[in-house]
Amino acid sequence: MRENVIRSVELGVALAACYMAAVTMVQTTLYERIINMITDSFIGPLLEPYMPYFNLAVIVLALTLCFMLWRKGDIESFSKLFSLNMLMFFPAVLDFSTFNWVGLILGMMPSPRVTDLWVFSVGLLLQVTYLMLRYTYRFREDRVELLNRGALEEDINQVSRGQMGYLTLIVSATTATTAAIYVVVPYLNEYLRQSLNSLPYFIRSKAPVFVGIIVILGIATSLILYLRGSE
Amino acid sequence: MTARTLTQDTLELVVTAVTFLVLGMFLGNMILITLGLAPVIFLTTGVLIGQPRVTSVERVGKDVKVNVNDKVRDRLTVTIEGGPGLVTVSDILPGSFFLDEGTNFKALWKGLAPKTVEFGYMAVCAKRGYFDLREVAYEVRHPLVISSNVLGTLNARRAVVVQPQPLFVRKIKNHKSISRIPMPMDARFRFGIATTDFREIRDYTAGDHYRSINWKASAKLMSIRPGRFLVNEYEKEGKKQVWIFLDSAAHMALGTAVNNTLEYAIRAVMGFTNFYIDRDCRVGFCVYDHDAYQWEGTFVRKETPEIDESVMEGIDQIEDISEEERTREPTVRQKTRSRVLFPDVGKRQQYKITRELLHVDIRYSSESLKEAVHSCRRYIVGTQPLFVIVTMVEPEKIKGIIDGVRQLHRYVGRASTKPAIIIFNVQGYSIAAQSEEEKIAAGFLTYHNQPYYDALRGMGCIVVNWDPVGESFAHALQRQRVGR
Repeated sequence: MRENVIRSVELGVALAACYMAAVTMVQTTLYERIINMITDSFIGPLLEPYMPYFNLAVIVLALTLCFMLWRKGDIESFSKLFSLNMLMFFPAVLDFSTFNWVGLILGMMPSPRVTDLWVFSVGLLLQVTYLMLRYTYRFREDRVELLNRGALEEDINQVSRGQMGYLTLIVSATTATTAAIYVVVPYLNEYLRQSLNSLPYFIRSKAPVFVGIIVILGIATSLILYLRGSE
Repeated sequence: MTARTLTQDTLELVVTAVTFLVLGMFLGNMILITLGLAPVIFLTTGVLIGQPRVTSVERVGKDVKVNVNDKVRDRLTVTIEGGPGLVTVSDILPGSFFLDEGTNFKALWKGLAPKTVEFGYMAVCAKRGYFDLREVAYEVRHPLVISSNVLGTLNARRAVVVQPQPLFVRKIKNHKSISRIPMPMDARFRFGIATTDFREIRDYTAGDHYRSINWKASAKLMSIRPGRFLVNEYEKEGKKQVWIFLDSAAHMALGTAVNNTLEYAIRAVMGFTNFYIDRDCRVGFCVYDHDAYQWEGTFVRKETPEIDESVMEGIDQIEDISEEERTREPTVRQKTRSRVLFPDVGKRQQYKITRELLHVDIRYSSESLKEAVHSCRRYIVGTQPLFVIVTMVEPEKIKGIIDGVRQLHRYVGRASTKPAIIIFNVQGYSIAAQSEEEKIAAGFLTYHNQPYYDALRGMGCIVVNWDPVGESFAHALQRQRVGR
């Protein structure tokens, strides 16, 4: 796989993530509120003829920024791209938050035009994009390094092909697992709630503490096992 | 088991996950909490899949002996197990080898299944030496850089002996009639039983037997110069002896790492060795450091003698010894390294000299020419060998050669005959010169050295100048024609 193929994959993933984040943003309560504020302000009458195109302009602007950051192609630009995407994604998250602090401050009721599954999918896409871009950048660095060390072009292309295949595989596994968790958790929650209800109160009341201890122990054990590692 | 460290990438992913989880809890948002799990799942999957392990390396090539500028082939088979990842394998070649074909560095992607990969190369051995191609270095990278890169080496030994290419001088058939170079026929033993081979008529000197007086020739001479006798000189029994001295001083490094004055000097030494050994001579070899004449003193013991402290009892120190002086380490001259192969005949000696030449490098010896001659004196006194000094004559350091030649005169010379000394001057300036301007400058420098060559010739030496770039070794010797 040649470098321009990797760059093309980067562009595709980055534009897709940015477009989805922008489209999601323009359908959120906070965005609507901001638009209303602009319309009600002194510049509202001036912008009124262009308001039907405002959302489109925002999306195009986001995509242009995304393209510019992709063109730079370094890790800092990819971090900025991720921050931009998260910024556009954040209003959608607020709409589905139990404690919508911004909504409370601005006194607005969440009325999103997208479902929670949509928001989750976009969030997952952003995460996947972040992970992919991090590693495709590293793969490109590997190519340069190997080339400088005297590796054959053919071998380097083969390495890149393997790396991209591996990344696709592992990202797919992550996406599937995370999506499965998101879908299963409500059912699991319901099931555990029913099971816990049959237990005495003093145990039920301490359940979060038990779960917390188990999780902390699990994290500590995993970390120790990871750090000890083995070849 | 090897300890794993948290890499920057791992930490960044963990921080991302924690940020999402904390933000999700702060906002009470299940979406963010679940998204926070994504980097953790990503990392976990990467850790569980693992990374490659290089288990074995096999080398096809066997031990080989080649000449300089010959090519060697090799092929390696690498077996890799474990998880997927980037693996690089490199057969570390000596600096003087350069690739002609193929590659000694292989980058490959190890998939999920075990993999065996083969790669090979052909390299040109540009410099003499003994090279032990032992280590095959590898580097294993986790595809997600979750753990540190694993660097290691595997043993796949192969020895390559690169011999200096000898410069044959077989073309000189009837050298005695065309060349002034004292070839072995003139390198005689002074002592020993006289053979019936007539050598020369010379003046009578004290100690000559009266039976050796050539009465007829003496009578003829007496008619012109009365009171002088002439004696017949016959060849003495024994092998003819040749001593080759090779300069290993820093100035011999002039040129590139591969193509320098020392390399040409070594090839010349090989040429002389082969030539004389083929003619049944006893050849001795000695490496010296021309620069060492600058710090040579009187001949000192190689090991400092122990002084019996009891002898010094009762002798008072006139001056007080300061604390600094008391603690100061005594200045000891670096132990002299002699590099001498004493004269011998046959292929065995040829092999010994060749083997020694494989290891010769700049500053290989720490003796000056004078000291080297002194070290060999036991094998020189009583013989009248031919001395070949292979060096690069430089005006500012001419004293080193002069001292050495004087030392040779001391051990060999006598009133009537002088030792046969060839100073084989490898013109390093020509080797170092790359551009046309540099070549002109090299010519000027050579011209500038002429008076010094004359001075050496005045001491009875035969100075043979050799420009390795411009002429062959044999041609340089043939230039020394009789009557020039």
